[in-house]
Amino acid sequence: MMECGETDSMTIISRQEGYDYEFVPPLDSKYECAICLLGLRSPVQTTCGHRFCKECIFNSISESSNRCPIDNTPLTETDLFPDSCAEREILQLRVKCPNHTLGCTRIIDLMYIEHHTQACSFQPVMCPNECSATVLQKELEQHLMSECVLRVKMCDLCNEPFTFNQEQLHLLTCRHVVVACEMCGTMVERGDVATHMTETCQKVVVTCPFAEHGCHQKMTRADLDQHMAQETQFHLFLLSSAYKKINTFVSELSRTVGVIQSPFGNFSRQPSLRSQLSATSPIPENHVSPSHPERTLEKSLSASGAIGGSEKSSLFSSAHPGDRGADSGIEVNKLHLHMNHMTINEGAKATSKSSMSVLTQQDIILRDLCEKSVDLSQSMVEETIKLSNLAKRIEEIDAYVEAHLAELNGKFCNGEYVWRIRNFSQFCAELQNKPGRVCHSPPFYTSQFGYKFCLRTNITSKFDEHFLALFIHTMQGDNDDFLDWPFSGRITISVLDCGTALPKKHITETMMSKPDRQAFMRPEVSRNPKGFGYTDFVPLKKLIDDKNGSYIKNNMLCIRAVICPGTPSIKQIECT
Amino acid sequence: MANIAIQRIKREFKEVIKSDEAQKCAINVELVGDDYRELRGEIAGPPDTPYEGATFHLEIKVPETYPFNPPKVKFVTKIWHPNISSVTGAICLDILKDQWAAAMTLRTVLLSLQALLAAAEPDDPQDAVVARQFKENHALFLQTAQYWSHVHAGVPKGNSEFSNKVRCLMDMGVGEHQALVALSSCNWDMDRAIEQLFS
Repeated sequence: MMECGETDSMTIISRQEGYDYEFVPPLDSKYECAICLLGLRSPVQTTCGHRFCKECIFNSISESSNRCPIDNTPLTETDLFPDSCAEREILQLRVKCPNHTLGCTRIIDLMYIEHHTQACSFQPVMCPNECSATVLQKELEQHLMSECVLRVKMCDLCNEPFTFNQEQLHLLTCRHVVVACEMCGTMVERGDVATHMTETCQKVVVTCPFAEHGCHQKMTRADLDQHMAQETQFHLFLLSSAYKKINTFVSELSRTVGVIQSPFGNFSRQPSLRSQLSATSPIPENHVSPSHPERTLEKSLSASGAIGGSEKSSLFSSAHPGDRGADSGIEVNKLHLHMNHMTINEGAKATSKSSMSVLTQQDIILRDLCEKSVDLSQSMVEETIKLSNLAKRIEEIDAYVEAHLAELNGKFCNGEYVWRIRNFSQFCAELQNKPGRVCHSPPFYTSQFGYKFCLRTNITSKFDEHFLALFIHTMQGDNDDFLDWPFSGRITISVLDCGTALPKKHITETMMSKPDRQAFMRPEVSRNPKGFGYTDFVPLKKLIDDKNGSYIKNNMLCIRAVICPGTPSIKQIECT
Repeated sequence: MANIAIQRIKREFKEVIKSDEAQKCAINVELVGDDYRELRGEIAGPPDTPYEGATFHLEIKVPETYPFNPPKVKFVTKIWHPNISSVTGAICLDILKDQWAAAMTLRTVLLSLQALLAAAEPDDPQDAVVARQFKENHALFLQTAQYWSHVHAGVPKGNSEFSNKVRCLMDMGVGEHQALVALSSCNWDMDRAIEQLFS
């Protein structure tokens, strides 16, 4: 809402008609807007002497007619002026609070009424709980405390919050409400019903605890004790047969463990692993190092005391003389043969321990190798990235140098610029395929501190014949601030004859600048969108069939522009 | 409907109801529906005119752009008047057309229509037949207008001659209003009316 007394219409967002209040005494018609029939808000007066709300009369002029709504005198927005005097008087008129029908007895200055209504205790407000009730401001607190159906209440039993209108629903689900067990009628809290049923309810039907062994009887929990007492003999019988079954299973299991052990031995026969093993033992003398599998095995074997001395010596005497990395794989094989033997004699525990330790060692070596290869490929990838970054950087520098060379060429050409269009056939094909496509030359200056120009070309067709169009465009340059505008001077454009024959048959047109053309005005964007030149400079056919001259040499076309600033001469050539 | 239009109509409605003219039963408005888009107006025929004692009902349609454009008003009660179509009830009154001004209200419109009944403008007619009668045979116009007020707008005093002629045509199978229109536009000449109706 707009603050009273504020006259800046820029702050008005929504449409504002006059003041819709009950004035005391009733509003004098001179303060009533004839359009909205309300008290004038930001009054303006017309030159014909009538007052309206600013919004109303502007709307009337824009939506209806340019006439005064009272006497139909012609009226425009310039015939309106703010009536500050009337505004001051209106804001001092006294009005009833809009809540007077709800009990507010305040009668105050219009100036303060909006301020009052914001704080008026009789102001109807929507319940913030969105219960859809509208209550008077002064009754809101009470409403929220004790009337709102959406007020939050805490459950006395479980201390969980719920909205008032959900109380019944909550009581139906509250865990702490005491309910009767539907089986035995005992009173238990709802949250404990499940536990009660599974653990204590005497009326619940349960199965005998020996059900998994074969006693399938069912009875109420109350009768369970009696069943247990009566059926002790039967239950004992079930237990003993279960015990027999387990025994059989255990002996089968230990036989199976033996079978499973042997495949571990085969693992070291893998050729790749063997070569890896030999590769990682560069010094033969260190063959039996602390990290070597045999040594570890020796330790574990002697610690467990699992085998006799002769076996032990034969095992390691065959390991030592090998002394070469290549033999180690074979030695490992032998080891495993021994180990299989041991499994049968000594049991599963010790055997699996020692074979696992051999495997762990091999694992470590393998892992080292993997890590190394990963490291190598990683660093190779890094180098490749560095290389491609360098190549990219060189390309950028090349492009930069080329661009700057072209710029320097353009800057120091003293108004005589040659545009070399390389790969002309492809250039033509591209321009012909895409109608409306144009191509611009690099920029050049008429002198070091002169005007900046560029050439533009495209292909036009006229009477089924294709022409090369040539234009010059002014461009925003470094010197525009101190140059004269519009540009005036002589412009000569030539398509150059690059053949060997003399005299040269350049195709040349000279034109004089025209001060009234936008093409010669100081450009407001980097390149003036308007150019000056010829839409049909030369037929393409003439360039390609070079009977008259050799214009395209090595698939390159040379176009020369000579731009001499100065006063235009009398000879002026009309062009587009 | 735009807020301003509804606000305005509500206030104008109150203005009419509370006005002195309404107290004297000279004008009145009633709501049609609950959205203030359409109202029914009522004006009493002004004294010392052939419409004295009559009550005319009007259809008032409020446009979206009210009050920047005039309300569309026409007579529902049939009336014999140069500026009001005896067939459609359309009104020819400048303030309901190009001379409308936003400052005008339902009350001023109703009072203007009442004034129009008291002072017809035969040179700017809506109904050419009535206008010609008004200018060429004013006495007969007054009688006809009075008789229409009797038939359609609740004036007790009738005209036995006209009633007989209408009944005569009705006996020939013509509708009552059709007979009234035919006779009125033929200056109550039976032969011409019959010719107009049956040829």
